[in-house]
Amino acid sequence: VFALPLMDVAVREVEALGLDPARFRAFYEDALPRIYGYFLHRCGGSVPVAEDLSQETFLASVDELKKGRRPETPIPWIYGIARHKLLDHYRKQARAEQPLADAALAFEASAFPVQDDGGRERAVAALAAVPASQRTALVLCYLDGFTAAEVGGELGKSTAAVHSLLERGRESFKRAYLEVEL
Amino acid sequence: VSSVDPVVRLLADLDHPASPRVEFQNELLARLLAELEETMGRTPEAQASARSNGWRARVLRAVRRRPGRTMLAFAAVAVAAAAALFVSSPWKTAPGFLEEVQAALTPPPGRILHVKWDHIFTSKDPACTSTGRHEFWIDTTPPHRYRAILPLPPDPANADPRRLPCVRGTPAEVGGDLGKPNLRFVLPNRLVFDRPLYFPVEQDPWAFAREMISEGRAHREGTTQLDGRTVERVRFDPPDSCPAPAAGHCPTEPEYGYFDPETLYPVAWDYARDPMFPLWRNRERYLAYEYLPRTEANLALTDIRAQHPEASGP
Repeated sequence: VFALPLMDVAVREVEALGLDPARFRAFYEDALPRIYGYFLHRCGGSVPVAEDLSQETFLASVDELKKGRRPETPIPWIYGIARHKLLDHYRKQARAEQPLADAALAFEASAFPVQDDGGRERAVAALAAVPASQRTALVLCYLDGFTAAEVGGELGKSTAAVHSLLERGRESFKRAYLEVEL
Repeated sequence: VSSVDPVVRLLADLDHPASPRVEFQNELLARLLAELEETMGRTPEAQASARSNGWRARVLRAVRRRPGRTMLAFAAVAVAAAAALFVSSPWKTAPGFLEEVQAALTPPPGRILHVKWDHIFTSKDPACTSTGRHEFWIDTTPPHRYRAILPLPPDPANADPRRLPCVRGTPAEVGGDLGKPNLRFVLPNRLVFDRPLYFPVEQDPWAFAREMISEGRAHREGTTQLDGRTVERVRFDPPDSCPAPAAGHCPTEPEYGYFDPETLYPVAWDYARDPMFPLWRNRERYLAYEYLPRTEANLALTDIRAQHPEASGP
């Protein structure tokens, strides 16, 4: 009756994700909170930005499926797509040279779902206030778990340049964390 | 940089799922499914029609869960409807045993369904048996708040699927509103967003059994003894054919329901179910089955936040 927690897991995991709507729906319900949270916490708690980037990510995933891609590990796969969308977003911000004050305005405290810990809200706001190039390094290294060398490869920078970005990023983050008003 | 660097610690603490707006979830899902189904050769218009039509949406949902049963249900209902033009059903005037079972398995509105059961897996290859204790409370009134205590299976990314029936799982308490991301309680006192449940907590979990009775696939086999008590046994026959295994679960052999002779509430359910793993057997042994009134105390049983008022988290 309460069919099969274990079997369901097994069946879902041994099948690659494809065009089947039922399987895609299950995948979507599992992945959306993760991907949405991924963007929300990396983009200053801005609901519109998190929704836009989540939508772009899932549309890109469907495009891949329509082209015949059949990922056997769909969650890591869509995180990869999301990471590229996030980097594109950061690059656009960097080109616009968004000033600290503007970035801080993107934070929507009322819409942020985590309310237990003011420290976390403050951290989200502070991260959004860090200049985009430094923020990219912080996110990729400290949230996504990449090494400085891997981040350098992704950004087209030397490992030393990434370390420099991280150093300045931590300082920017600390300053913003102390200054930000919720 | 040390891992105790406060910046690193603060940033690492940001990596959590979050719950998007329901409207956003639904609109994006509709768009994605329309794109997928268009690729599969179906018309977007048909999909839009199905989404906008309540009963069709429910049927699609049923197909997703139990495609074999539901496909047969369509045929059976059509045949039954035609036959009804010429033959009157005998239980129209005198409710029979199976019709009373249907009534007992229908959650009354404005109640809280409480079910507690042991799920006993038996596998021949690999040879093992495991038992998992499950319990849930669900409000039959929208938004169908629920709370469940169950053994979560291991992370499938790190598990051998064929050994899954041999593991007991990790006891966990989860809850939320049906269809939304669920919360899980973690020690010492915190609520976190969790992956979706892999068993269907529903406000009406026996709808499929009532459907099989309506289709004429249920047969009363009389009383028998089960764990020292007298119960009524009902055989539920599988459909004549199943779609391809990848399309979903479909029974290929009879399932057996055992019911209390007085209340007709379920006592146990035996089934095999999955064509990909034919050597697995399941018995659900119900330890509690009841429809509770919607008192404040009982509603709190459905509410994971009410059970952990001091917990931190979303």
